[in-house]
Amino acid sequence: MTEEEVVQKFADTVYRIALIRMKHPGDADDVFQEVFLRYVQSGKQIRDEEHLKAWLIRVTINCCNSAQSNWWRKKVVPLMEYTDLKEPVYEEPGNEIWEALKKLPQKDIDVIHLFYFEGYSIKEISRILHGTETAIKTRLFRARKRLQTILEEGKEG
Amino acid sequence: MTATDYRKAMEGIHASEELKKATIQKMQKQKITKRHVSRLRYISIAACACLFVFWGGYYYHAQYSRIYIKQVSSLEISSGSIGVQTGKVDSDTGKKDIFITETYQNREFIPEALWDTNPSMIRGRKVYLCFEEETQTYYAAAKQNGKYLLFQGRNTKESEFVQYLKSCFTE
Repeated sequence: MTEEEVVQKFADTVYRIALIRMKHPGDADDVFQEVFLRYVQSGKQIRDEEHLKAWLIRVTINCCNSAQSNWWRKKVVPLMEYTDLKEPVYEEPGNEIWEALKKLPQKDIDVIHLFYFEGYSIKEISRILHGTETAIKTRLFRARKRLQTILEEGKEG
Repeated sequence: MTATDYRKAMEGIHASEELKKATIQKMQKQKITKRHVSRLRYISIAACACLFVFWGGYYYHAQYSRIYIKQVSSLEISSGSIGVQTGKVDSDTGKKDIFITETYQNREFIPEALWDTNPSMIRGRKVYLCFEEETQTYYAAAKQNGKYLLFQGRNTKESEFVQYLKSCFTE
């Protein structure tokens, strides 16, 4: 698979995780590029697409984690707070699930997305996220409950 | 919320075409840079290896096979005890008339002109070499096991004399 084919094939998978994790399209773009550049750097030649997909998901999560714990990012304050500049307009999905996901903790987002959208089994998720099956099962149960509560609160509000 | 709701919500999220294009361009650029870097790495490794070989050669030359031969006059060389055989004489059996080795207990029996030359290194040993043109004789002085050795090579070539010295120090 060429680089272009890899990007075309897995762009949406990577972008979705980056967006729901970073909660900001601009940051998601950065993570997206970082993931594919890491793919080139690693020089990986994976024949099995499923394996490559799992690797990309793992790298996306890692990139999001390091972007969020970045020292520079923690210290940075938006320019708009000090100037008259307006915040750039990004296109967000803008639906109630997206809004609810924004309120969920990172770890919960991972399991929910991998289970419900990517269709991975608990065993596969535990392999991707480097956790035990029991821990993933518990996390998924709690995440589902939390998401439900947030959605109900949203409806009531 | 059902799984279908979640899936529907997520299906609406796509990476933009511009983002994909920009990423592919960056990836191709990075690939070229990576290739350059890896080529540079090989070049630098080869350069280091060459440097090491040259340095090793120089070190070997400096430590084990450095030859300095000083031209001396017959007067300088006869100011010592040469000609007065006070020590043990051992001539090479095959080349009796060419090479002579004399062993002395004391350094003073060896002409001072020999010790004044820059030391040569033969098989890692300091050897002082001279050449006297009049009689076409090579002289060498060295210290071994607390004794002083004087070597002479008459009507011979420099390379043969050095070879003889090498054979003496191997034994």
